[in-house]
Amino acid sequence: MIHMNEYPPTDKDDITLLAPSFGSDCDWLNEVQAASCMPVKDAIALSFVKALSKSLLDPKNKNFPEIVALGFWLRNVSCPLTAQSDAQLHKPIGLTVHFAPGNVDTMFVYSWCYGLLLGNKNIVRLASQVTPIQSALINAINALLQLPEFAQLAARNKFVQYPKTSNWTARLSAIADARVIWGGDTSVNSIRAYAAKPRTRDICFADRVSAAILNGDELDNNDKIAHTAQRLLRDTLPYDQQACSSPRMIFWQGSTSALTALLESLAELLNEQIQPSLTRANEQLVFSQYAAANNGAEVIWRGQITAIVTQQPEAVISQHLGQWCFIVIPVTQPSDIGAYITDRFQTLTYAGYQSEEIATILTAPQYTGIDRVVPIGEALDFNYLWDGIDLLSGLTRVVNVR
Amino acid sequence: MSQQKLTAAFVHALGLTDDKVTDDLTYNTIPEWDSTAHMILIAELEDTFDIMLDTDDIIDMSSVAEAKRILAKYNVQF
Amino acid sequence: MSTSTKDIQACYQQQFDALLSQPVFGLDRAAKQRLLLPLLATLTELHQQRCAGFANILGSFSNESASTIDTLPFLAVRLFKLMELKSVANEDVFRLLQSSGTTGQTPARVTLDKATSQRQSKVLVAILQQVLGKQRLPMLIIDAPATVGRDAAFSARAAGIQGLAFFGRHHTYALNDDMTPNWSAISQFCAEHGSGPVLVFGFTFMVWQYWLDALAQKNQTLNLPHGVLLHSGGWKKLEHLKVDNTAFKRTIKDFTGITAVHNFYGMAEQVGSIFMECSHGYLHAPSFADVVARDPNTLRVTGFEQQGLLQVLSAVPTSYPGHSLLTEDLGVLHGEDDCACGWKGKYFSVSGRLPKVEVRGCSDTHE
Repeated sequence: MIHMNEYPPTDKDDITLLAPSFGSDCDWLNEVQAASCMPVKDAIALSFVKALSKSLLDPKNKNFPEIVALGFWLRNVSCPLTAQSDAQLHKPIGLTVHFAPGNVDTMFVYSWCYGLLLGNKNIVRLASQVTPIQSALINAINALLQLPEFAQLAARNKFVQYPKTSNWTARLSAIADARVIWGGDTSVNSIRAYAAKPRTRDICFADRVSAAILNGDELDNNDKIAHTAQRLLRDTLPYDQQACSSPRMIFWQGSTSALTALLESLAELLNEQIQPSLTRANEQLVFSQYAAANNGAEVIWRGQITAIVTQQPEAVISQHLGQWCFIVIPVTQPSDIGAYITDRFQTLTYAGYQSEEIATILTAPQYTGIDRVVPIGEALDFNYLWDGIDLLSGLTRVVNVR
Repeated sequence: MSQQKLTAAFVHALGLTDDKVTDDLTYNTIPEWDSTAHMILIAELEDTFDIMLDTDDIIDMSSVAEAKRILAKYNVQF
Repeated sequence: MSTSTKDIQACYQQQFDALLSQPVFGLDRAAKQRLLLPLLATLTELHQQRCAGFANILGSFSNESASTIDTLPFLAVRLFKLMELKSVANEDVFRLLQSSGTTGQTPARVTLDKATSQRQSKVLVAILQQVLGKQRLPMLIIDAPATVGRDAAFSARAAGIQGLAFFGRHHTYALNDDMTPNWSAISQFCAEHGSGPVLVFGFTFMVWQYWLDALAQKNQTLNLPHGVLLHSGGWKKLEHLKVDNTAFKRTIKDFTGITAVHNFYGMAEQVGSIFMECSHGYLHAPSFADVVARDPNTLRVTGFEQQGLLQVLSAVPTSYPGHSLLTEDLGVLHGEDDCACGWKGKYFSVSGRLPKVEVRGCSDTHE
């Protein structure tokens, strides 16, 4: 652990203030520390989020699916805190430092947005790699923060960037009331190693895997097959199936012919929507042959998709790199999935079942994984309940009054 | 009236000209209407008609004709 | 009716001996169909019996026996980095070949028994004799002694040097351990052997950056009119300098007098079976090997002059299932049997590596 008084003083030029990008930026740190928090669900914050949503949904962002998806999500973001009563006050936690992940440029907005709406002051550390999406987001945020009606937000929300070699993570950790840390595992561990205040809350999003459970017995006509394929595509299209919430495994109840029909339908849809790739088929070959060699998995190739059928997903999951490979585990009934649940499981999407059936299975105390059960098609819809954490309570404190 | 508003939404969100917005215009058959543009379109339709579409309707809205059918469920008269 | 392993091995031996007696660059398509295809089919059967992992992989390919070389099953070359695939018992393992591609990658592990190792040498000798003649030549190695020294990390360069050292004598390293030229060693070598045939070997980028460039900077030329330069390793590291094969050869001639320059393409996963550059600048498949180009998007066979992923086939390996591999190199097949140089067989060029797959989704890219 690195303690507060042990790090060497840093070069002021080590850190760049990306937003707000106007006014004097040498006092940004003092400004955000000195400011008071906003009230929870303040009208100004709500108005900001609405304006940001509109800005991101502009047709000029057509070539950035992630930005449009984010803009769309921002329309409906809500913070359903239990109504404030005299007996319970909701207050923001204070200064929240967000550590954005590499490779997913829009992710920081989801958690920052909750931080903002709950009245917190926020410092967001962005990934060092500058990308078109990151720039577009910063530009949109800057354009709004400049407006006089959002001046209070400009004082309380700072977006920064600094290199790996900097000691700013230590400095920010020392003043944070909460740290929201996006991973993978290595990032989360290394940031947590920096000392924070005794009551600083850490909200960590580390490596997870996700699956779908599909009732093939219910897919008895082409319409239903196409319907399910559409939704499976929606869940896997962004990030080449590498998002932590996208299903890499499919628990399949039903016949092989129904499975093949579903994969064919999905492959057809996929062919319409993705570009040919130099590497995809080779990656699928490597993965499927590894699975076949390693545990005798049966391999199904359909168009741009490969599926391997196995009873031992744990033997191959570490080699899975997205690329439209599916690990199919045959089950005879939903409760069979119990044998495969680990604490790395995040999302289980379902089709052809009632949510209650799945919920009942998960109440058993021995299952330490699956933090989210949602209908197929909704895998990537972010929510304040994420990775088993309630972001609303994570970023507020509850004052108990009697 | 509703038809005009519908056409305007398609024109703006997808970057098309009026004459392209026919009933049989279908999702994913033209480059302008891909999954990203689809979201922009949904947001535009929701704002225009002051409704909130559920997930199934968003996914099922595969053509202009389908859009009309779905909007009718939300009491939009065509 | 399944044939016993012994019978398969006997059959293979016959087929291999028949192939060995043929001219290395003298087999046309019909001859390969007659002599190489059945051998490769025998190898497929052998490895199916002896390697459980390979047998499982075959399930994805058609059951029918292959009618042409390009309908044979193939393995993704990366599998040898991810797992052990071998067709011999532990007690018969003679050598475990390890070769790292790029830094940080897991090395490929290739299991050799005595027989396969000997066959690799035999085949390499047969191929190299086509450009070097039968004599062992004084050899100048464009690298440093440290590369193959006892403390050296195993590398593709070390493997190349050790593999070819057999073909030379009076081995002389042209570079010091700090990669500067060892001018005294170089001039001594030229003085003693330069008037006759000599073999010069180095990795392509080494030859350019540490030898030719050094000569140019010193404004010096060497005179090795009967020299043969063998080089390998690819053009990628010279891309930024815009050096292509023509420029490379011209510069070699200008600074060293060498006109016999042969690039060769090979890999740790198919040792011995190398594809040699002909007098007209194309890489040729020898009698013991063949090459197929596949569309990267569908993995189906492409036609001539269409870029594809290269699949390489070799008659050599019996100790591990490496006889039919889909590489991660892109290349172009130019023709078969009709190269102006007179050598038969398929001839092709290598364009470069497949790009690395982009990692997406939340990852540890910072901190």
